[in-house]
Amino acid sequence: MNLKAIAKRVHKIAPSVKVEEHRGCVRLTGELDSWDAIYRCGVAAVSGKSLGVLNDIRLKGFVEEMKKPSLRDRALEGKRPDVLIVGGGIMGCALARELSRLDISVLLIEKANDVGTGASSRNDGCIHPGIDLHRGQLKLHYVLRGNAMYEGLCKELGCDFERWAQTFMFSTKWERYIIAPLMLLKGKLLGVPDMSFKTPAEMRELEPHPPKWLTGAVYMASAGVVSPYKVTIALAENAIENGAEVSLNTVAEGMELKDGRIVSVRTNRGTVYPKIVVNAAGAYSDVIAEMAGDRTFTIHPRKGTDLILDKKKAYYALSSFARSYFAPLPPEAREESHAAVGHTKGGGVMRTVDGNILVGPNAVEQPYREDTSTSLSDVMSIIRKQKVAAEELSAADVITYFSGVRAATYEEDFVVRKGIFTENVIETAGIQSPGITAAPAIACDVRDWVKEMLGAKDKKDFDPVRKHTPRLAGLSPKEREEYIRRDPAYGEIVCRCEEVSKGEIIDALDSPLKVCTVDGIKRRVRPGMGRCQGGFCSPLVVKIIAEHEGMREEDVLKGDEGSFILYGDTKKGGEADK
Amino acid sequence: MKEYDVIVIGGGPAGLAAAESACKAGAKTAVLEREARLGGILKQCVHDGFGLIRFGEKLAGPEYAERYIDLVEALPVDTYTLTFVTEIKKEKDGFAVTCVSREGMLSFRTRALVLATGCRERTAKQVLIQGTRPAGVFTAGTAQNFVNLMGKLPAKRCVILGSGDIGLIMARRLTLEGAEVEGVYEVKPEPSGLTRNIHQCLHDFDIPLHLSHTVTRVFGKDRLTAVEVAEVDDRMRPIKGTERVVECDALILSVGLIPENELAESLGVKLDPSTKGPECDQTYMSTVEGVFSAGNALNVFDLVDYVSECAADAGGNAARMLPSGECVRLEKGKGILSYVPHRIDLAKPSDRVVLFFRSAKDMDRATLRISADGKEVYKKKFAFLRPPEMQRVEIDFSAFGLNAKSKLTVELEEN
Amino acid sequence: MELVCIVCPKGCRMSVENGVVTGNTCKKGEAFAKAEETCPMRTVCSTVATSFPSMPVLPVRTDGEIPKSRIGELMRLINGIEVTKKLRRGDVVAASVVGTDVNLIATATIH
Repeated sequence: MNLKAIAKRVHKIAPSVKVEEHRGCVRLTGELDSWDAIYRCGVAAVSGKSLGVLNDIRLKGFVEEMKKPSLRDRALEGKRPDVLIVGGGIMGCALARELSRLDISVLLIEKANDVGTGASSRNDGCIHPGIDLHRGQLKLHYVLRGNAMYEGLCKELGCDFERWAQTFMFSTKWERYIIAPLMLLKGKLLGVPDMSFKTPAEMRELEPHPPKWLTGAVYMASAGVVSPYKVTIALAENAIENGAEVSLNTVAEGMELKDGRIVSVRTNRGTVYPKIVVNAAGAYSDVIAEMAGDRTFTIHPRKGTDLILDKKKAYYALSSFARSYFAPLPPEAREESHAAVGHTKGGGVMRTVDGNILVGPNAVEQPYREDTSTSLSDVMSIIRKQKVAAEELSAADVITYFSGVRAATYEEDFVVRKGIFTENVIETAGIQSPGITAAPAIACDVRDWVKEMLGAKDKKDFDPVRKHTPRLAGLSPKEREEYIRRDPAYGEIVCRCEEVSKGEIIDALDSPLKVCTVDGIKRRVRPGMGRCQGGFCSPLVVKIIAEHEGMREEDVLKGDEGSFILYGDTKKGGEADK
Repeated sequence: MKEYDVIVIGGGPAGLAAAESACKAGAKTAVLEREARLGGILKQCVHDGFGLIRFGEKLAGPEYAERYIDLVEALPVDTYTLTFVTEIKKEKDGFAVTCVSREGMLSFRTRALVLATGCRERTAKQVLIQGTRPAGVFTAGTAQNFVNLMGKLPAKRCVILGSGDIGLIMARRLTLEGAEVEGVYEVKPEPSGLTRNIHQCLHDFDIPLHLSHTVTRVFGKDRLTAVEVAEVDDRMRPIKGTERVVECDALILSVGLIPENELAESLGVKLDPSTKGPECDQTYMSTVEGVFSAGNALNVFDLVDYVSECAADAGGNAARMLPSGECVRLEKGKGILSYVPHRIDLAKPSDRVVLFFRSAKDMDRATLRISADGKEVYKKKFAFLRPPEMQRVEIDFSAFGLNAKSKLTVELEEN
Repeated sequence: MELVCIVCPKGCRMSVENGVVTGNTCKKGEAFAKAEETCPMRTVCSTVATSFPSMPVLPVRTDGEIPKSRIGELMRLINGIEVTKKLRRGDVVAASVVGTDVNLIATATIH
């Protein structure tokens, strides 16, 4: 690699940064007082000939403490799983399920109080066609394979999946005549199936409310949509049904390495001795890779915000569309400049699998790996920008919004490989968009590697079908009647907006990955996801959890540890003691 | 399949009053309530002040509700609790209503419907509050449920955003239960709740009211730890530099109520953008023949007594189902924020029409004026009007000599 | 003293000067204004604990007004009560509270 050229590029941004080669990687060290500069140095250090960028430039005065569970016990002490998966996002859960096909022991650890609480629940659930990717990228390889797997996967898991197309809409004639054919050609070269050009008239047949400026569109029929957190949870549940173990509130605190192998992993719940460690730690995957002595990349967190609209606005889009970004946006829609515009397709308008319209996301580089707070400027700029595509969009349609942090590497690609410097680690790192699409395919490759490394056999009784109760509101009255006859709780509606019954909530509490929190129940069966945002049902949900689990209401949490909702009784002489 | 003349959806104060009068008018009547008990939101409104007009007494919410429940239960009205309407279909001469209940799927047929579905609260995200998503952000009604029905304290030191009545009531309630209310913040330059509630809920307990202020952000990863408050300009936008961080463990929101009209909309009922309830005639019939609207689903009232009154009328009219005729729209003139009814049906009695209205702004000495074809036909003077305080007047529209081509306007003038 | 009447929802704006009330539109308003100047009185509403899981708290109110200054004392009393009988709406929960002849009554029926 040409370190000199890299150093020159970096020093143009920040002369004080030290640029060196480290085990085949480009390492940057020093201290700067602007995150933007640190980010740009990282980008400048990318080279096709290095293993990756190790951007260790410190941001002056910046500390972000990793959110860790305070729990300390010895529940896992001395365990010797064949495979330890670090991280319970979609990647980790897809891995757990794939690995549970093998006759081996699998332990997944997740530091939060549920799986899929990071980026896996904070994205649009789009199953990408792959058109925005490039040849040679791992992303492309896995997206094409993952996309093709989704229909079957969701059938097995009992998750909703819709192959709703994605449309790239043009606002000018030149885009229609120049960009459209180029995109179709690119699609052909990349291997993206089922792409076609649509005239505005053809588009109106498919999307009754297209923007007025439409001059033509590239239609990608291979796109799809899922509920990303439901898929994540379903993967974990099916893995557990097939013998995998999931340990929540569990964080990897350190690893003992010997002769290029991980001997043990220290957690807050005891030390475990795995044969293989798979890194699926998302925004912290570089930290875990470092712990494993195998780091060749750096995560630079990139925040994105999405808005969810009332189901009444579902007519805005039947599928998913975005305005082509080649023509400049009208001035009123332009975003304030952010370092990383360009590493998102610019967001769009899409229908979620649950029937809401989602608009966004945007992309903002930030030093925080876990700061998922929203800001008014982001929300308003998304509304301004997406109003171009969904012309009737207004702030009054919005029922909620959320941010997620993408685990981006400077190479802007996934890191999916066996360990380079450490023998028994496998990296599935830097899994950001389109990670939901890719994760199931990545998990298949990792399964094959593990199988070979351990000489494992397939498990004979693996059952790919997850046991679950279907969403009752989606059933016919006759089918629903049968459920109610079996258990009247299925006829007792708790969440009016999303029509969720008490029976479904109790089923979620009895599921293989039991998470007795209001958010856990919300992610599984949707009470509180509607337009009242839990105003009516949250007291009921708290009560149902408390009753079913034999807890006091004040011990029911919203999400993670510490997220208590109530302070105890108002009466009985100040027993309210929190 | 059960057949009724009138089905009332919702068993709160509006639904109960509608059912009582529908039944008394001779209709075979049913009430469908999705909660386990009748009474609606009044069950959790343990404060007093209800019933002064209806019963001539100051009652607490549950008392008012139970009185109505007693009235309805003494009548041959069928009440279905834990019964949730999933679909209503318009059929020839009536409606098919499908419900889910613990007994299974229930099907009803009815000639007329009274939608008494109440309202819901606006949420934090709907007023664009930013930041993290910790526990400790509650709408006032949710907090009220926790305190008054469950007997659990949701806050020890809280900030209340919005000076709507429920917010003010909760400020007092939480204070009485031993929590500290750091302050009530109101984005508008005037309070949103009734003046008497500002007095007896805030002043009595020395709780500060910060007008022209809003909460912009919440902090805390798991439980809320603080909120950011800021002063707002005359367009209600936060003013840079006025931000202040207030340490607290809860944010309670009383930022508006939205009539619940999802069922009405599914039937094609036209809504009024200012009330967010159905457009109706003087019998509270919506734009869909046979569909009546009552209570807070029609128009968010500040007095339950008026809810009962309007619902009783709606219920009685649903039972009678007078044939519709030509209508005159009541057009909105200046100074008026919202009003019901929206039209006068000339084929139906109009000699005793109750007009509920709110002024668009605070007014000292104002005149309500109705004109037909540019000519003043009615006027009434008011000492003072405030938007949060709904006014009620009775007007004899039959005396105005209206015909289908008349142009009818209602306006308020400050003098 | 300037004040807002809380007797009824009208919320009349009144003023009281040496026992002379202006701005009221009824007798009750006058009486309220006079009391506010000397000894403000309030009805207090709250809940008391019960031993019934189906209704952990029972709403209550005073059946008359008590001096505003005694609200704190009344709340301490209220917080110590636990109802173990299936009371009905209007039943007395505590008689003659905080040295007045006002009773604390149930405002709902225990179901």
